[in-house]
Amino acid sequence: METTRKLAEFVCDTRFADIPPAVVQKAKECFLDWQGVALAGTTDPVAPIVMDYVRAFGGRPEAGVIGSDLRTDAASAAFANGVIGHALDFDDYHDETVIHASAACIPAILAVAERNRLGGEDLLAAMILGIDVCIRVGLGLGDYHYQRGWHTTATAGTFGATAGVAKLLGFDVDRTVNAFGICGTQAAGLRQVFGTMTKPFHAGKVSHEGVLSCFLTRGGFTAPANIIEGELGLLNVLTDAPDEAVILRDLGAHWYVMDLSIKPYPT
Amino acid sequence: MNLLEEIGTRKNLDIERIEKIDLEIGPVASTAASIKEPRKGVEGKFSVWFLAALALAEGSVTLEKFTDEKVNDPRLVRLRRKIHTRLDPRIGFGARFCIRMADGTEHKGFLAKPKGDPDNPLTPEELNRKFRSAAGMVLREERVERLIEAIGRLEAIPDVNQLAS
Repeated sequence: METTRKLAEFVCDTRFADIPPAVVQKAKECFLDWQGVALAGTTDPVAPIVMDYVRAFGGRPEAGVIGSDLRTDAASAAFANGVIGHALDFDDYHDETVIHASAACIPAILAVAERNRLGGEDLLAAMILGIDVCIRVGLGLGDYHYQRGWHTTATAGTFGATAGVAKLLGFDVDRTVNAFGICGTQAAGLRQVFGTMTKPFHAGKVSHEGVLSCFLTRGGFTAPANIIEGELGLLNVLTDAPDEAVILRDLGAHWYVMDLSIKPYPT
Repeated sequence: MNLLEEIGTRKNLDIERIEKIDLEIGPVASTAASIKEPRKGVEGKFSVWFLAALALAEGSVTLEKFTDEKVNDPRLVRLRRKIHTRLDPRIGFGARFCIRMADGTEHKGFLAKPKGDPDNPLTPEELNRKFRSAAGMVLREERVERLIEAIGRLEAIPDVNQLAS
């Protein structure tokens, strides 16, 4: 089954107008919640560390770091906002896969939308598709993946950030598949880091990977066409109990953003 | 947690007269919030005992309560040491509790889906309250309200850079 390609087709073919209003409404709630949690995250000790890093190494000012006047290149902004947005662990999550979906997807999408001066419709469509893709990939990896010690926000999450950026850049199916190929080989992140700054690092890492994978693709960088289902791909390497069929089940009929839980408590 | 908040406020329990609390939680809560004796404010977030004690004693768990002072508050320390947890792998993100008072009365509760779950969602007002409390840590009130308004009509915004201004 060409799962990677089918997922890419869904991302490319879905327009904002195809998305039901209730789904858009939930995405706006998640976006508001992420903004609040990320703004509060700027008070966490991790924030000055990533901001100093971005000041030292960041590129041209095309996207903002939340809650500051700092502007930098889209990949660095995505990284910084990814870490800051998950710093308090107060952001939304998907119960079954434990993916912090908004934290993984929004920073990359917001940074590229700012860079390309795109509007709210573009941002919301990219966010809804990105969240859908990462939860589908997370479900495909199955329970065993998380129980074994992988942090699904860091592994499946990279596909969400990448799908969102691919959508914003107007990629065709081939390019989207290629971007998945680049991000998929970066799918890593261990639960050993929980309780340290390296947990929110994972959200920054996948956000950065989303920007990197898409802009390399745009430059002609090559990657495999079957990173999810290939013999040495994601499902065969990172889990013992994959469920490939669940990834495409009810595609475009069930929207996984609807299944996100918004935390009332910062835990 | 919101189950304990409600019990705390509604029944007006005298927490000093609580003898023992049995709390059953799922696998994620028990591995992600496993600090038994938190000393620092941030550790409070990762302590199911502190969180449950806070919910029960104060009726609300908000960001500004994760201070060193609060975590070491003798009243909350006494209360959290009365809480005994047990893992129920089938409970997911839900919780079940039994509070036994000194006079032998018991208060029991069960919550299958935690507050914020799609089956038990935050109301728009609760969502805005969370946003105001979180964003209000760094932004002036007027900016906070403008963001709520702008994100409410996000699909109509022609350039997302407007959100940052």
